[in-house]
Formats: sequence, structure tokens, C-alpha cells
Amino acid sequence: MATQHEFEALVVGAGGAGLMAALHCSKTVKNTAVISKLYPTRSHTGTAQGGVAAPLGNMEEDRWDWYMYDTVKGGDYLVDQDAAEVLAKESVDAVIELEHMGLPFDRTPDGKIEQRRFGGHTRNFGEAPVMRSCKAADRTGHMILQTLYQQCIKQNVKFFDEYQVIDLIIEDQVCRGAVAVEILTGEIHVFHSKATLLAVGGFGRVWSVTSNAHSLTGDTVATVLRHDLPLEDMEFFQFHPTGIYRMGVLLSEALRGEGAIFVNDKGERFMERYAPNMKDLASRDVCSRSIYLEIREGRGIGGKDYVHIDVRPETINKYKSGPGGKPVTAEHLEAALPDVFEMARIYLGVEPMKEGIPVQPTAHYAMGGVPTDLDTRVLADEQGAIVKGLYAAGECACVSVHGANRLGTNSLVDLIVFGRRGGRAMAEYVQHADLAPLPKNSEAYTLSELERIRKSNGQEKPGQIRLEMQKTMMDWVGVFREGPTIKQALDKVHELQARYQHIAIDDKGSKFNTDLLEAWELGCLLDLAEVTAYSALNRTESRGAHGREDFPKRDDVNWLKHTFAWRKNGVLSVAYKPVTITKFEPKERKY
Amino acid sequence: MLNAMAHKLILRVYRYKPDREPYYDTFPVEVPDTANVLDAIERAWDDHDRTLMFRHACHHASCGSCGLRVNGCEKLPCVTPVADYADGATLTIEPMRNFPLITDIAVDASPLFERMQLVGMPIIREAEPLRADGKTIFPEGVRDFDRFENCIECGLCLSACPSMAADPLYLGPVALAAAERVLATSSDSAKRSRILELIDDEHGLWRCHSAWECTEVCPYQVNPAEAIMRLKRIVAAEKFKRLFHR
Ligand SMILES: Cc1cc2nc3c(=O)[nH]c(=O)nc-3n(C[C@H](O)[C@H](O)[C@H](O)COP(=O)(O)OP(=O)(O)OC[C@H]3O[C@@H](n4cnc5c(N)ncnc54)[C@H](O)[C@@H]3O)c2cc1C
Repeated sequence: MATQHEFEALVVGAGGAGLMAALHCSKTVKNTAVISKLYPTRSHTGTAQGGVAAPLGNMEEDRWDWYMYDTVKGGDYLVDQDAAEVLAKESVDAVIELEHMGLPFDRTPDGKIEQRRFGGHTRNFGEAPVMRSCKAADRTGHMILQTLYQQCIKQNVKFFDEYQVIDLIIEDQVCRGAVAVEILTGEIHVFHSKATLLAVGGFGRVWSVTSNAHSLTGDTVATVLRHDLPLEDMEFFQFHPTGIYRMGVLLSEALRGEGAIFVNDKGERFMERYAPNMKDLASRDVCSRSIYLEIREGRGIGGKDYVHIDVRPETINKYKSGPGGKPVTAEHLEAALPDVFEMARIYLGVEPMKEGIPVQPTAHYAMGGVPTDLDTRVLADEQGAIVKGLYAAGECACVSVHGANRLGTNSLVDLIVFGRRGGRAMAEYVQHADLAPLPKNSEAYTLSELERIRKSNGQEKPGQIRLEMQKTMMDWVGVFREGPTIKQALDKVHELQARYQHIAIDDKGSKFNTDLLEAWELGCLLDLAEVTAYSALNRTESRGAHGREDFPKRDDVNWLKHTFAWRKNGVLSVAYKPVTITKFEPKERKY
Repeated sequence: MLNAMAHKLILRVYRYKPDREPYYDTFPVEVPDTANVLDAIERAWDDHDRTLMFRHACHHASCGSCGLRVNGCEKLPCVTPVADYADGATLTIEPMRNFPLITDIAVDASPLFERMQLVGMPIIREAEPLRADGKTIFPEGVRDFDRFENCIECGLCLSACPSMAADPLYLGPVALAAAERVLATSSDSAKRSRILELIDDEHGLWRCHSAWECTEVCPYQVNPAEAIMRLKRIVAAEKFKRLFHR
């Protein structure tokens, strides 16, 4: 038997996007609830180090249209420009709003919000780097989460912590709520609601080397797919160039904002060759590919598969790579990047003031996800039909402001700008919408799916399947990919999906059964891996994070369009949607 | 460091299920010597026993989920290198103390969160909003609080605190540090007297015997012990003031 709940508005996920949505919705809708599989402040937003962009112009002149241009160009022109305009314009008062809530941003000596440089952010349409990232040391995400959570508690938002959503209740293209399992007890809960917003974050755990938390398994994104709804631009997954060697833990791009540079085995600053203008501050896809090319040419450190990021003040001062070309000191760097340095010391035993830090690209960010319109309403197809009562925001969604490659600091902006829009849109909607009736047995799928996994007694180990999937995707659908190997990856994922039907788990109980829930998450990851490989196979060009060796050029004639991918009854299909272009005509991307 | 060698450990893990007596399980594991204790626990889970219950999310000391005790010391295992322990060593892995135990090494962290809410959760201080000219004036000394804003609510300080062990109703280090923040920065008198009442209590401030264990185990140098010392001075001064005004 399932416990029933009724809410006007429901938010799934308590990261930055979910909390911002819940906060704004709760301003008019008193009956707003948040469901999260992690305790809210444990969400992955808390790990964001670098900062949140806004063209405040506190340090030097800046303008929203410069910022919009950078976002569009960074996304290799696959960005929907109406969305990028919203992002660029609304970022300013969204950041000020956070500041008014008490977020302790770093300040300039005269008390303004201090800003720093970040990859791909420029002045005057690409002329030179600009200081646009607002930050609280390198703990910006943590501060955003704490601030928003505190505000939500004040607003009496109801929280269901450590509840995991297993299914959405969608019938006749109307979402009526969600079904969740209470992790502690194993009990099933049905949440009946007029509006439901998904903010479940990314799914980097598809790959073996990732900066993403153990919990980032894209559960609800896969659930959307299982309801015969499309996912957009899944072939675009960002590999961040500065993952800690072998571990994937992220070293913030703030490192390079402060002047750090990439160095190969010969001690060369190789980014000078690949991006003569922006060099080490070129966009992430460009840096990651350059690192791979160096490694392939045998110029990885000691011939191995990594390079160094060098943040020693003498290096930065030699190349004049610090902000504004000005000299930097060790004390300044220690104060600006405390966490980053601590990580290098703890994880690698490397002293960043004395030696280069070993890094390699790490799976980091999902540009693709659940397609939405500018008000975060979920799209049912490439023509613009919507699923009533269903919304999505944050990393799990695709509006699309990031196109083929996201700029640093742009995810946090996305969370607060579109989280807020989502909250407001829901509040507006629930005022005149009726509570659509629940179908009979709305929990049936959840019960049977969990029961199937619990009872299944085949030979396969979920841990083994997970490792094989992650390795396959890393090797074949990673920074570089090509037709035949993507095809191989897709076949392998299909094999793993078949084997997944024959897994056995150790824990047959119901309470706090993470064995069961992780096995269920593995099924979600496999579905997302499948759609990712399939979308990547179809797109026969290179753009942003999607680097095809067999089609190395961007092809605007045939491919200036978004992928919408479905999986109905196990059969994959795609349709395409044109990119919205308003201000900036696509041109070749040079950094 | 970059040519990882295999590191063998024996994990002696505390096991508990609500319907039976606690016991210890022993899992031999092998991980690279660059790994952390959390990786070793994951190995035990994946290779030996997937009914082992533990919390973990970010794997790099940001989310505060994975706190536990290694050989009796409070640790975040995600940033505790296995290389801190000799090859072949036995590590005793136990849940944090002073929290209700759910199962195995997973505790119910709600006492921590409840305490934070009691004091109004001021991990983030109230803002000094920008003025119209985009600038702001800081209250004196406000920078001293920066470190507290780093609290990740891992609960290690509660686990390590001897006063907490003696009195389950004790407010505990992190909430007291948060209370100090309110008193030192807020001029809202209703709020101040509510907090004063809360902490000037047999389960409040005076329970602290300055063992400094909380500061010792904190992974983010929040230094609750120091805050509690300051708090004692603030409360004494307030009491004195009130006496005077009577
Ligand atoms: C190490 C690191 C550093 C980063 N630094 C930056 C930066 O400096 N600037 C920037 O702009 N971006 C940065 N990013 C990216 C950014 O942090 C993320 O994209 C963003 O925080 C995602 O926020 P979110 O709200 O969409 O999801 P998350 O914060 O990931 O939250 C997801 C929520 O969904 C919940 N959830 C998931 N599945 C379920 C389910 N089935 N049922 C119930 N709840 C569920 C989780 O409990 C969680 O509360 C960084 C990312 C990483 C990994």
C-alpha cells in the first residue's frame, strides 16, 4: 500500500534549480513540496567551485549582449538564442537577488561583488577575457545551496528528504505527480500534484572518469524517456579539461581564471598553438580536445595520458597569464583557490606552488536532457507540443542555453534564472489548473519494477555491468568518437541491457536498501548511455563537445539543428528541431 | 604518487540491523595506494557484500554525507588516504557516535539538522545588501565568520564531542557556533533573546567543557570550540547587562 500526498506544486530535486523553483513557487503557492533523494544541502550544486556569471560590470565594462554572444559562441551556435538572451539579461538581477538573500559573495575593497575571469567569457564580442564570474571563494555552489535552503525553510516549503522518485504519473500528456520510495523504510509514496518540476541534475556516472557525484545517475531523465517522451541533444556531454588524473575529481576552471596554464611533457604551453587568442582560457571542449591531441602525439607527461596544469606564480608571471596580465603572488593564489589547492595536496600529494598538477579530461556536464520551452515547460515533441503540468530546470533540462558546449559558470546561472522562471510558471499554472485525477494503481509500475529487481536471481552482477558500461562510454563515446566505435558502443550497451535483465542483488530487504536502488539506477544509466550513443551516431559532424574523427568539421548546412531522441517499445528514433537564431549568425569558432 | 601501487587493507566493519545484535564483518580489499578509505569501503561493498549500508555522494569533501570513524577517529573517508595506514593494516570502520544508528555505518543525521534549525540555521549570515550605488558597508569583524560559512554539516564534531556523549540533549558544537553567529551579527532583539534563552540552559552552552575535539576533527577548520569560547563571554556580558538594568 502506498501513502498518498497531495500538493499544488511538486519539485523533484533539491539542488540549486529545484530550490530556486520551490522558493519562487512558494511565494504564492502555499502548498509546495520538494522531494530529494539526498538531504538538500548534500546536492551536487554544493560542489560547484568556480562561480556564477553575470555582466555586472563591477571590475570593468561589461554588457549583457557580450555575455549572450559568448554563450552562443561557446555553445558552437547550437544555442537557442532567445534562451541565451533570457539567460544573459536575467542573470544580473538573479545574482543580486541571491546577494539580498544573504549569499556572502566576495567583495571588492569598496564593497561591490568581486568578479573574476572564466573560460570563454570575453569583452566586446571575443576581443579579450572579461571578469564576469561572481564567487564566494571557491565555494560558490555550497553558498548558493545553503542560502536557498534557508530561504525555502522560511517560506515553509515542505521537504521530503531521502525519498527517491521512481516514476512520474503521466497520462494523456498531463503530468499528475510522482511516485517515490522512502529510502529509509522502503515505503512507497504517491505524490498527487497539479504541477511537477524536475530538477534532478546530471548523469556523469555513465562514464568511468567523472567529476560527478555518486548520486548523479539521471534517474528521472530516464523516467521521462520511459514515458515515451523525447530527450534533446544527448550527444553533447562536456568533458572538463582539468579532472584530477585517474580520479576525475574536478579542479575548478577558476585555476585558469587566476592564470594557470596547461603544460605538456616538453614544458610547452601548448594551448598557444590551438587557441592563439584565448589560449588556456579557450572553451572547455577546445581545451579537452587539445589535451587528447597532445597525449596522442606522445607529449603527455612521461608519455602517459595526462598533462600538467601549472599554477606556480613564477609560471603565471613569466607568461603574464594572470588577470589583466598583472603579476600574482603565492599568497593571493592561496586565498583565491583554497579548496583547489587542498584537493591537489590531498588527492595527489602534489604541492601546487612547486610543481605542475596532473590532469586529464573528466566527464562533467550534460548539455542535453529533458527539452523545455523558455518557461521550463517540458516539450512532448520537436514541434513544440507540451506535457501539461510537467516542468524541468537545471542540468537535467535542455532549454537550450548551452548548445553543444557549456561555458564555465553558466550552469549556476541556468539554475537560478530558469529555476526562478520554472517556479513562477508553476505558480501561475496551478492557479487556474484543476488537479487532474490520478489513474488507478499509479504506483503499480514502481512496485513491480522494484519487485522484479529484488526477486531477479540471474548470474549477473550490477557492479560488473556498471564498470563495463562506464569503460565502453569513456573509450568510445568520449572526447573523440567515430562512427564504427560508436556503433560498437551502442551494441555493447544493448548487450549490457540484456544482461541487466538477469542481475541478482544481495540485499533482499526493504529498509535502506541501496543495493536495490542502485541496481535500479543502473537501468536508468544504461538507457541514457544508449540514447547518448544513438544520438552521437546519427550526428555526422563535429560541433562543441561532440568531436567526430570521421566528420571533423562543423556542418551548418545539414546539422544546425537539435536532436530529439525517443525510445518507444525499445525502438530508438530521432527527429530534429531547428536552432533559434536571433542576433548572431553562425560563423567559425576561433579562440 | 602517479605510479599507483596496490595497497591491501583489512576492513573490520561495524554491522548492525535493527533485528539483531551488532557485530563486525571482515573484508580484505585491495585498492591503489592513491585511493581513499571511501574507495576501499566501496570495494568491500562491490566485491564482498552489497547489503553493507553507508552514505556517500560527492566523493570530495563537499557534500558532508560520508562521515564515520576509522580506528576510533572521526573522518571523512572520501579525503582520508589509504596511504595513511600501512599496507596490510586492519582498519576498524564504525558509524559516527551520538547519532541514532540506522543500519551498519549509516546514521540518522537529523539531530544535527534539527539543532541547526533551532538556532535558525545561520550558516549564511544575514546580508548587508548592496546600496543603490552597488556598494556595501560591512559590519566590523564580519570577515571572521567566513570560515563558518564553510560548514558542510558532516556531523563529525557532534560525533567527537564528549559532552554530547554525556548529554543527548546537548545543543552541540555546530549549533552553538551558529548561535554565536546570530548573537554577534544580529541586532534583532527578539531573535537575540530567543537564542540566549536557548543556549543559556543546562543542555546549552555550559555543557561544553572545552575539550576542543570538535575543532580537531572539523574538515573545514570551522573551529566551533573557539566560537563557543566567544559565546561564553557574550552570554556572561549579557547577563551582567541585564542585572545592571534591573
Ligand atoms: C565539481 C563540480 C564543479 C562545478 N563548478 C561549477 C561552477 O563553478 N559554475 C557553474 O556554473 N557550474 C559548475 N558545475 C556544474 C553545476 O554545479 C551543476 O550543473 C549544477 O549544480 C546542477 O544543479 P541542479 O540543481 O540541476 O542539480 P543538482 O545540484 O545535481 O541536484 C540534483 C538534485 O536532484 C535530486 N535527485 C536526483 N535524482 C532524484 C530522484 N530520482 N528522486 C529524488 N531526487 C532526486 C538530488 O537529491 C539532488 O537534490 C560544477 C559541477 C561539478 C561536478
